[in-house]
Amino acid sequence: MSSPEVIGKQFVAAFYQTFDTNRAGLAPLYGQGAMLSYEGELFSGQEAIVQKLTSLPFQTIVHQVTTHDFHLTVDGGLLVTVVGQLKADSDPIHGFTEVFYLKQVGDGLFVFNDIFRLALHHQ
Amino acid sequence: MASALKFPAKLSEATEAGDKFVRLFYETFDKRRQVIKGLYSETSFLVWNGHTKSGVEDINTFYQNLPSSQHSIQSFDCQPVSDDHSQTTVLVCCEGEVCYDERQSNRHTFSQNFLLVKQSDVWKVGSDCFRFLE
Repeated sequence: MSSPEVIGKQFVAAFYQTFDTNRAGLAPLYGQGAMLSYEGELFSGQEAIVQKLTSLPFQTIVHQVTTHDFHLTVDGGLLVTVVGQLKADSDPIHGFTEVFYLKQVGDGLFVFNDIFRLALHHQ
Repeated sequence: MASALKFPAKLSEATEAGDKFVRLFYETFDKRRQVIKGLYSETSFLVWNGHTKSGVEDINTFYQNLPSSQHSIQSFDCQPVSDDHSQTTVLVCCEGEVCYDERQSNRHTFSQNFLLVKQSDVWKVGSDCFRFLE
């Protein structure tokens, strides 16, 4: 059994690599009934989440992870906290934070909660 | 039973719990930190800028040793977490600024998230993860 740290790092690497290269490919990472809060706006269900992510108005994006924290929760999930920076098209670099709550279903690990915020208001 | 609640009810319960919690947590932390341990339990877990502490006593000792603080919250988000163990869980994420020791030079932007777990009708912090955003 891999440690939360190993599983978490694999997840973070896979998530942002997919986000940066093929946003539609994120769909299978979300579990049934998953929720995304994107800058305060809530999306519920895999379809609505991927619709939102694929319609974000930039062509290219690169995420750079600065720190990540992982820990197992009391109910057997994995809580992943990411602080990083992103660059979309020719926009300035922005800081962001993103929190994922992952749970194992069958053999797979899925995102059930995802909360994303740009760190815009701190600048 | 909480797990039988439909989605909008769960969402509004999560938002209400998160909203109350955020106000209570930071007011207690800044003004009455000696009682902050009441929000944690034996199974609570803290990651503070990479330092890990577990259990109410360790977390409390760590927090009591931080300098005096003043937090201001700029945004927070709440989501209900899937509850297949019939326990109600809410994820809360906050961002804001904190100033330590009333010194402007000791001002930081931060992000903090909590997993709140309802235990016999009382909300406790299951997980607490704090990072400076710099």
